[in-house]
Amino acid sequence: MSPALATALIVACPTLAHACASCTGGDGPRAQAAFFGATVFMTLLPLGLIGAGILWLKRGGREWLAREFEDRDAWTPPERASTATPDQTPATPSPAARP
Amino acid sequence: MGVIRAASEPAGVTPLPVRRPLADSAVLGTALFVFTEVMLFAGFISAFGIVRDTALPGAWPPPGSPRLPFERTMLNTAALLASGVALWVAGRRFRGSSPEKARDWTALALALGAFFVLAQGAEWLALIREGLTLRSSQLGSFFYTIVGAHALHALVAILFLALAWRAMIAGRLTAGRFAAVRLFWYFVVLVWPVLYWRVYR
Repeated sequence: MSPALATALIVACPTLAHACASCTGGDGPRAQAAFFGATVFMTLLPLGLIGAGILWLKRGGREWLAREFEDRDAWTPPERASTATPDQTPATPSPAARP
Repeated sequence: MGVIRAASEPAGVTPLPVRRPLADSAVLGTALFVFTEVMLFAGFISAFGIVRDTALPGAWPPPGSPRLPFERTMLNTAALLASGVALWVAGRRFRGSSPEKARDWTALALALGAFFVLAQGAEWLALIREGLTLRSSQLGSFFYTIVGAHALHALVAILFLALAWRAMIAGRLTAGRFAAVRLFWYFVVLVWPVLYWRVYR
């Protein structure tokens, strides 16, 4: 049997493939319902929490982005006063002064 | 020719504004931690549900196990829920126009939370005297593991809330830190009714 066919059988017919002895071979419908319910619960809960977290960040993000240019517009650049002093020592010595 | 140098920046220059973060670090960190703890309790509840529902007829609760005090624990549950409401009011006052009133509501939440933990402790002692221990049966194992884990979280939440209350009195409590403490308290409060309903019933 090819691996692809085996995979397709397991996915399509878990009972036939005995994919989960606990879930499909339990002691009656009550046990199977308990496993199924727990599986659904444990699958949906983290997805729900992640979705709630994304919604919370998205809602806060909208307000955060709306305030983005308030900060930029409120900022005033400093006034820089430039001074030129001819008798200050230059940063690099002149070619004539080099040995 | 001289070097053109800029003079030093004059005093009183408006510094570049620092952007407020999208979410307060303390709140985000607490939210991530609460996420993991919710999954921890979800695992406990799922395992307990499967063991209980797959037990043979007449085998659950295990023979000889004392009955869990469902009615008596209702009072503890009400106290814990009331502490959540009190802390919610404290949060509103803290952000509002009367932050000094937040202290009283926070103290009330603290007192109710402490009552819950002490009452649960008394209940445990009674159950141990009746023969329900961690190793007496599957019910005992699950009960003390699940309720014990919640009690541990409640104790830590009480400690954090007490520290926040002290900082609030000293005027040092920031809104972000208080929000983080409140978030953890709400988690402890809201997870308890689920545990109570699944384990005690």
